Amino acid sequence: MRFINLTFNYKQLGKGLFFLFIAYFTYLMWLITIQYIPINLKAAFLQIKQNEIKRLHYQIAFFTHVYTSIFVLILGLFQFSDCIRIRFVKFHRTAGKVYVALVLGLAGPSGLIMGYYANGGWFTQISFCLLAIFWIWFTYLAYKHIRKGQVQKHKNFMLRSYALTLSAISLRLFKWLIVIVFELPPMDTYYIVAWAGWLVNLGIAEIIIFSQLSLLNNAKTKVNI
Amino acid sequence: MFKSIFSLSLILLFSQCTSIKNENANVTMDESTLVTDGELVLEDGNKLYGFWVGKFEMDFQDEDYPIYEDDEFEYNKKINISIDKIVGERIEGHSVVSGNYRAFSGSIKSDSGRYFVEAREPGDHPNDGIFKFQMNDTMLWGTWTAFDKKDSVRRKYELKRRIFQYDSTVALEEAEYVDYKKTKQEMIVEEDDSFEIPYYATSTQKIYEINASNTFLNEPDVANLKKGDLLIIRNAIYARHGYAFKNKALRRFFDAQDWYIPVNSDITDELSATERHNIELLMAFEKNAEEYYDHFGRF
Repeated sequence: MRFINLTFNYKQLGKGLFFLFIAYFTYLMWLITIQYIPINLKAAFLQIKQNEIKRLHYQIAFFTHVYTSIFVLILGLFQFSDCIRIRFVKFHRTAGKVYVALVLGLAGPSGLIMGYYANGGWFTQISFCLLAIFWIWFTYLAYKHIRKGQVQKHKNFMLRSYALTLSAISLRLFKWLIVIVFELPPMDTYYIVAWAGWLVNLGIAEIIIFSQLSLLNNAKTKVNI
Repeated sequence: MFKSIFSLSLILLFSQCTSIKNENANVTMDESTLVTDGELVLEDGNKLYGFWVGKFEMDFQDEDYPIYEDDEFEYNKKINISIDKIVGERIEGHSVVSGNYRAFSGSIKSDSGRYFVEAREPGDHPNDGIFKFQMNDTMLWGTWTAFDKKDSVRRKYELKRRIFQYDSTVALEEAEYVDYKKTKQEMIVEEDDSFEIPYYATSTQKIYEINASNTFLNEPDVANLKKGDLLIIRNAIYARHGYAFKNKALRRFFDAQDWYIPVNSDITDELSATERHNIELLMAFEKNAEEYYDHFGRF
């Protein structure tokens, strides 16, 4: 009678809420994505990228990034569920492979090209290029570790990878909050969120990894005693 | 405790951040729908010809003040009375006020160095009326009364002769109706289409620093500007060409500029290549600012 187990599990509740939170903003990202269907060189963000969008390689990079990143975001959403990972291993593996392939092959490299042409000069260009490089790198390491069967390392790097994936959401959310609260001019806001958008996420990922590590260590010491 | 605060703030976020862009975004455009004067006959050397510019002030005759339905109250518009043609005792001209270009014609009589003019607008526009003024070489003063008796609107004016010449270097002056005590850096342009829902577009010191008529602007020059700044910087281009604004907020803003003379209702042919480029650039950023600045979608 497991379904009438009424034990209140804070961790599960937190995870559930977080899932809903990310799912909602992934939906908003979906709305942003469909603004670019059909291909329109003057749509939305491209209004202020007219100099860059003239170049063919930027066009290819931009639309590759827009059309693939949304699926990276959606796939990642299901990879952290214990239930799916344990009961539907096959789904977890297939979705994971698609996630890795999309990041390494399409979304990551195209993000790097876009980062090179980022608005705001070298300060934001460096940030977005680093973001793309770390994204590719962490995703690759996560894949490498699971191939070797190192589950904990795989988990940690996937957490980092997905934290960077979520920068798409956090960057926009921070921007929205800054504008609502401080009414900063657009480029000043952009300088802040270009870095905060992924550094904050990565920081949270490191905290989670660290706390799990100490939990693990505690468990070990208890066993030892 | 922490949980409840967390969930509460989540709920707040969800309720506020519900769309990725502003669907009602609209760049404030001043449509130029007016006709321009076709028959302008100038006789060189006539000292009365040309533009006479100044305030078009409310003139209260009765004890009972009229009730104003729009923002005419407390704001004196700028009027440009142009004397175009004088043949014998007949005078023809036009006035530009509130973005309206209205022709008038009537009689002119001279007496001891002064001229007395009485001229009527065609009468096919609800705001047409009759001008009665005197003028000499340097001044033009008098009244205007609406044909529509119900309105009983009367205005007075003392105008000075002004030469209009396009000058791309003209910079904005700090406009007179701004409350600098309250906001040192921010200027408030009131766009009060309704008194109940006042809308404030704010602009900053940048509008005095950036001249879009004589500077070729690039993306970095405008990328950090808010929509209020973008709007004023772009419309200052039109103002330098003497464009007669129909939009109330813009008219109110530029009427307060000393150098500004409302002359034409269509100036698109007179824009320089630099100005055309800048207008396109500024428009793109204005549209983007309207749609995305305070929304979840990317700027």
